[in-house]
Amino acid sequence: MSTIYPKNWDAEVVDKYITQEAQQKNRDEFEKTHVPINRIRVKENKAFDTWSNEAESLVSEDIVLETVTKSTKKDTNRLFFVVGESGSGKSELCQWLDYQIQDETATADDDEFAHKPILIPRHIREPREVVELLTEDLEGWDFEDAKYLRDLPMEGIYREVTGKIINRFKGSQEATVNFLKDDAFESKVRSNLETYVDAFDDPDASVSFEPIEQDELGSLLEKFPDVTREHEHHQVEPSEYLYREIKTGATEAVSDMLSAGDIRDILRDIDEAFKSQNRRPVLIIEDLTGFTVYDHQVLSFFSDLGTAHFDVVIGVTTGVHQNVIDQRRADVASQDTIDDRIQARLELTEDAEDGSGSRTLFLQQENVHIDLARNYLKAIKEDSDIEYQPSLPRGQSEDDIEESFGNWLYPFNREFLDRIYHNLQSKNVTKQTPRIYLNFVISELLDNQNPPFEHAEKLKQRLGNIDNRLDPNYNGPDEQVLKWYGTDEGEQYTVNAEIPHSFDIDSDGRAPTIGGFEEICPECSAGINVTGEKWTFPECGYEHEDGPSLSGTFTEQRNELLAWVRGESDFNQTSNIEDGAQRIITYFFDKPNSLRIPGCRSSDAAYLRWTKGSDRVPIHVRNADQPSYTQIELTRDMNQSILLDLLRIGVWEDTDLRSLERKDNINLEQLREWANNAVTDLRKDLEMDIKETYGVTLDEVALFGKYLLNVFSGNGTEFNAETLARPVSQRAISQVYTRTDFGGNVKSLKDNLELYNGLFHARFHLRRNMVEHDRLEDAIASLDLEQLMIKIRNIEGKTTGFKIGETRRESTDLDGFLKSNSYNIRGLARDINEYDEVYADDLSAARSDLTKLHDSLQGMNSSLDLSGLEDAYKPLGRPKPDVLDEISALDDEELDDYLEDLSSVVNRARDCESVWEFLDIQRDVGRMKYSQWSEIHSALSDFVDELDTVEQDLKNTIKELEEEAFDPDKTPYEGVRTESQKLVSELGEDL
Amino acid sequence: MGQKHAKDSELVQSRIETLVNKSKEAQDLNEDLADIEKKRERASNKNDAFRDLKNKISETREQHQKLDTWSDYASRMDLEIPKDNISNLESDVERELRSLTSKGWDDFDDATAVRDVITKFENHRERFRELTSTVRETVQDDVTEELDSVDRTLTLLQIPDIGDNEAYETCRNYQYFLNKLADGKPRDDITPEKWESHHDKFHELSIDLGDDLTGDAKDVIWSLLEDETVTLAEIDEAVLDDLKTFKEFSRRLSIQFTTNP
Repeated sequence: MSTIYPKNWDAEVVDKYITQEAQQKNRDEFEKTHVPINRIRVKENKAFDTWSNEAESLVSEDIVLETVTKSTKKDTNRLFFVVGESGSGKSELCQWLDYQIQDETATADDDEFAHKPILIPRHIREPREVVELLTEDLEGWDFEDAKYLRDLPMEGIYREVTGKIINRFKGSQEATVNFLKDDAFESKVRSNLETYVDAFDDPDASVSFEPIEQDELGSLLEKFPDVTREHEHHQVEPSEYLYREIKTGATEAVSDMLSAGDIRDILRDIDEAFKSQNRRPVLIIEDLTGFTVYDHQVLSFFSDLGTAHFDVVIGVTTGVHQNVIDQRRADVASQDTIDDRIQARLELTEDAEDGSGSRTLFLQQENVHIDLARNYLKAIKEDSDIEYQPSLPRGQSEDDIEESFGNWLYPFNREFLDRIYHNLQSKNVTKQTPRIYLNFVISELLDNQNPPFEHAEKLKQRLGNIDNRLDPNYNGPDEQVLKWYGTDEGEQYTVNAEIPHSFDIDSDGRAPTIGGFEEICPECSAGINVTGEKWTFPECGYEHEDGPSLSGTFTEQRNELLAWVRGESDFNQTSNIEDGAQRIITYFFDKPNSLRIPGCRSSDAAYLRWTKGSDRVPIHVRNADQPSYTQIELTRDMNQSILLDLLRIGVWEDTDLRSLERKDNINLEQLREWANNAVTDLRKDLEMDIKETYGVTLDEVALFGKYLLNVFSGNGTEFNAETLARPVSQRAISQVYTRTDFGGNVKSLKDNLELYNGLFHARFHLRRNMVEHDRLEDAIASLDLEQLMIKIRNIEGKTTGFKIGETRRESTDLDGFLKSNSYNIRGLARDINEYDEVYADDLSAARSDLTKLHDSLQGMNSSLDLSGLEDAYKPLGRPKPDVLDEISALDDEELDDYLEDLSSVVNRARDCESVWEFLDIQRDVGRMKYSQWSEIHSALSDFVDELDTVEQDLKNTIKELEEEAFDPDKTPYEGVRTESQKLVSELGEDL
Repeated sequence: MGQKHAKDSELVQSRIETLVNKSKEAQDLNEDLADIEKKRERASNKNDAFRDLKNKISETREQHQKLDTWSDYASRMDLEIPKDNISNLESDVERELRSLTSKGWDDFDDATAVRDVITKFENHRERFRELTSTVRETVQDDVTEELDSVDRTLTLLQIPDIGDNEAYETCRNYQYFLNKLADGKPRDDITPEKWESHHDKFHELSIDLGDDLTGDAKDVIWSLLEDETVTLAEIDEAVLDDLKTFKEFSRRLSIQFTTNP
């Protein structure tokens, strides 16, 4: 959109006024636009004794004039520095002083002592022009043969400069000479000289004669340690020494080439000439930066107090040329610095309140920016002397314009200019100088075809967010006009309806604001709107004298917040609103980043938190970015009043929330609802993060962990709410699986029982002894135990920030809890899953052993008659064992309990159908063998074994005895028969 | 639980009772074991006696074999031996043996019963030994005569040109066998069959006395060889001269004359 609007000024006239340096305006033009500079801060003072505000060391331009010119003819050199940011009015002040001193000179008789100014404007930069200007009224000086720097051949300058530099060092300083001839040094010098010489072709370019920056030199020297060693004996650092020598050599080289003579001779000549005329020279140098090759010589000349009788005013741009002066010794014979020798340092700017950037002191004069604009607008319009083009809207007169915008201010009004002025910045840093202000208002806005409010919108990068309390929901055609020209009246913005009318915009001159207030009374916590630094709250009588007030912070951030809500810009100053959000959330939630279930007050619940780097509630203000991790987000589509409340709470961090609510400063109920939702969403998101990362939910981990505890502590293997809700004790967990193929490390479970149990409490307990039963049932209902085990077994991935522990101090990463062997939940899932494949063998063996024991003990009781059994040992030839006595001594009740327990285990082993049941059974077997029933179990097992042994021994004995029946050896008789038959046979032959 | 106990206790108690009963059974068996040990001792003694009996029968058999061998020599030499006595004894022994082998181990009450049989066989063996001595002596008497005959023949064979090597070997072999029998220690290689073969060869020898002697001289020599008594006076002077030329014979003859005045 663009709107043609009536203009009564000429663009060329605008250019004339705005683009010229102060010195370039003629005196009439200068005086039309000049606004007295009445806030100048004096430092290093040795001359001022009159003040406009002594407490703040402030003087006006008149006092400066008076002080500079109160010197006598015989006074030696008096040096004043005028220090300020570029465009802060140094030239304006110098020009004004020049005009005023010119008047003194002009009105004085020839024989009357007077001061006479010599102004070196900022744009005079050629050394030849400088010396010509200085010797303008002197005889005997001729610079016909002098050269202009811009005309010197670059290569010649370079060779001369490097030659002079090298000549300053002895041949014995070999390392230094080699360094100066090194490519690294030479290329740097060449580059800097080129930049320097080129700057003379561009009037706007900044000129700086630096063959090499001191920092650059320092960096280079690090690579040439031998050079540093050659200069360690000087009183200054080697790099400082070399820098000065190089600069001096270079300056001499350029001076020689220019043939412009020695400026110190010229200054001495001026001194003599003026003295003879009964005049005292007031040398006014707008900018020392422009003095290039002469800067050191000039400073050296004037800081040597006895050399001449000058009053010297030198403009120094903050930062740019300060290193020429700071800490610099005035002369070699003294420890004095230049600052010790000056009369005063006159500062035109100071650091901005927010610590970033600067502001011009004199612009803090009341209405000065209005006056400045008005002066320029009046001068331009008078100089232009034209009618409105196009003509004013129907029914609108020139008087209407003057009345509605303010005298001469059209097309701006006071509010518009306030807004521009307060938001001036450069590169996102506040920079309020007259030059920037005038450039913006007169050059940019006035000289644009679009109305200022439209064009200013386009320039907002240079302004930041304009303070705008209009309701973001208001969408009227006059919104922009009201934003720029309107007056904030609390509940509404108003503007003289002639103003939108003049831009042909339909408007009744009013629009709603977001309302509210900008200050909170420290006394009664009531919200108020105040202006100025001093105010009294009408209700409680609290008086705010001065000092820091939070309304500035609030309004600035509110403004940015509203611009963000409107989609106009990002929201960058978010720390306060984040603090507010955190404050509200922590007000309603003890542990908002806790992943315990709401209402969990179990003393056994684990510490379970989302702590991404700190304990703060993670709050993220959503601009165009996405948070890098899960946080509570503040978005521009949120309820506006909640956002404002959060900001307010963050800014007034020391004000009690209840007090704020009592005074209707905030809507705590609404904030409670927001906090509820935010925390609920945060927790959901966090839990979803866990699920998406590990493939398992926190509840599932808690349930599985508790189920492990149940199984290994004897609570049973049922996967239901009743069983899972049973308490467990560490003592009940035992490791009895060494004789099985189960490889799981149950010790880690036992060692971390509190943590496992704590996690379950955190997710399913309301109190230590009160389970959130419905939640537990719901959680179990959708779970299959085998699937759950596989999920836990398959845990992979990694996310950080989740903490779990018995206490905060003992907390560890959830990631570690899920995966490390020391906690072992995943490890147990894997081991049990693996054991599931093979446990049947162990089950079969256990079943067999148990059943045998059980069957052997059928009818066992301590009143059994074992006396007969004792006789059984006689035929066995051994004494009866002790176990028989042990059995006789058994307690009947204990025996009954044991047998009942054994019977139960046997039945369960018989019916066992899952690895979980077997682990549970094995645990009970272990309990019988090694803990609760170890003695009785041992006695009975031994007894059963003994019965078996005795039975077998008797059987063997009987068998052996039975086999002992008489069975003589008849072999010898057979021998008789054989031998007899032989003999019979032989006899038979004979017979 | 109480009811279950009452029922179960029967099971465990009954097992214990079973064990007690077994223990009693074992004790009884232990007592039986003492009797068996006595029987075993007696049986051992009886078996020792059986081993002695077997040895005695074996000795008897060896003795009978010796008798049988000498009887065989006697028979081949056509000598008179007490055949009836022998035959009667053999019948007695055979009868005794048949009686013995018709009994079982248990039929002998104890070692004494066996030892009675041993005594009997000792008697049998002694009688076989006595008969063996009788027959052996008869045979050895005959052997002594045969040895003289062999010796004369060997003397004759020392005369040159009389007999040959084969005749000499036959005499020497026969002499070897006869010496063995004379010693009463015929070895395994000295059997009646071989003896008989050497006997027959010896007695079938035909010795040629050559052409140098007269017929009468040859008859005298043969008479001498046949161990007939020849007196010097009965010999013709011419024959005697003839014999004197028979160098070997003269030497022998001088002996004859020396020993037979």
